[in-house]
Amino acid sequence: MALELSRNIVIGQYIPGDTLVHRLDPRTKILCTCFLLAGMTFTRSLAVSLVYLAVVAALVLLARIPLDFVLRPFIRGLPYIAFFLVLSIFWQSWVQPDGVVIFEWGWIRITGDAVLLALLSLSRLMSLLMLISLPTLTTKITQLTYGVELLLKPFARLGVPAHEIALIATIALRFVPILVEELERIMRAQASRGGEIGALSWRRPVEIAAAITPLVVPLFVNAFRRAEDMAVAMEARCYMGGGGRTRFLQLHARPVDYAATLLMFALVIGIWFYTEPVLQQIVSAIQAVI
Amino acid sequence: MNSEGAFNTRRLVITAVLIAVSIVLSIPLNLGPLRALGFISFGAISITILVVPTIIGAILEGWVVGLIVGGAFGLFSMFLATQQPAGSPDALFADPFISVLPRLFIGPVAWLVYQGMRSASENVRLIGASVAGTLTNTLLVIGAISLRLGVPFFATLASVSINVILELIVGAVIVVAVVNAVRGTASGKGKSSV
Repeated sequence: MALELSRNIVIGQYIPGDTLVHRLDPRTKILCTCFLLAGMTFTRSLAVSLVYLAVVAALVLLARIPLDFVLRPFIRGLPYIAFFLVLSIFWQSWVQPDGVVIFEWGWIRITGDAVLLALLSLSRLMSLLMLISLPTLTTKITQLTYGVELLLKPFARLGVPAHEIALIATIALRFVPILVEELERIMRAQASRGGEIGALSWRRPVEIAAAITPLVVPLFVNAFRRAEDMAVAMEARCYMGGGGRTRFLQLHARPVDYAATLLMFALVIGIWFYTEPVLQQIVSAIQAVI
Repeated sequence: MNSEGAFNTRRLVITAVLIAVSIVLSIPLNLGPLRALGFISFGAISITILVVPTIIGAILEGWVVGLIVGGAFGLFSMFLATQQPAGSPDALFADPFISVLPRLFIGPVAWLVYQGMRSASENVRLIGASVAGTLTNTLLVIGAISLRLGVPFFATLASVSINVILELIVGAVIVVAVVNAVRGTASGKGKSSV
């Protein structure tokens, strides 16, 4: 029975490096990720989606991360993804039978629109996978947390608990190794009483459910007890929230950070402007009024 | 203890610890059918109890805590999708519309159901909240997948119907056990220990 869980913890997968992408301020990376995310999420055009795919792939290469490394989950999950896409092609062709018919045999029909939609989903999924892994691959998790806190700070006046969210993230990450150790102890304790978790078979689902409950319930109870202790310890040390706290880690945005943020913003807005006729209509309406 | 605002120190730490629990539950274990403690696969069918910390947070500490724990669970499953090559449709969860957005609703829905069932007995309320939270997760995630990939909603839902029933049962058992145990230790009645 493998009980050394601590060896399996991988939170964040920071790959050290000294590229332009690595050196960018965490805030820049978060903002650029959000811009690109919005852009590739809301597009309905395959061409635009392919442009985003190329942009993200270029960023991955710029960070000197092998493309096959970031695409590995996609390659391993390909059978499932292919199943969904094939299902999508048949379903969409059936729901919307208009348009160019590529293939027809009996009641089976495949339309060009359905294939385009599936290709759009495929390209979006690949670009999302690369985009989401990029900040965690090139930034330490502590820096990302601090970046999020600083970005949320202006919204604190509107009631967004910026400091609290960052502190929650920090405490949560700090608690993970503690809870894993706790879990190892619980597993040993249950194993010493005859609770087997190493030799379970999927043919007996009730046994699995019965084996998990004695592991999960003490884990929760211990977690709550530790939380109460920690809250008392924080109050005893006069923790009063974020006001006036200073930081060991300081972030400094450089001109390249502003340039990168502006560039990504301009790219996404520009693409949006040229592909969504609604926006052009609004602009021409404003021009007509002026 | 100081109790100003939505976040007193205690609530803040409990939120953090519940997030930590959901992360621990999703750490890969590779113990046969236990892919992770919160992710059990029975051959072709796999079920998850990763929604349980979110539901428990919503029941014990209110919908704000449920919202934050659910959001963190969603974010973590999104990041996990980019690094967990376990040969599953996990890669789909790299899309925040599938992984993060639906998870925000688990806590508030569970809390609403729990508050709405005031007249029922305590354990029935817990079961109701757990079922509502788990169903919210399943229906919204399947809905998001069918919207994003253009696949039929009910066919996708039907393909996971057995998982859903198992998830509802296992989830309810754990929620009832944990909430009662936590309340028991908090009030100092029965100091259960491992």
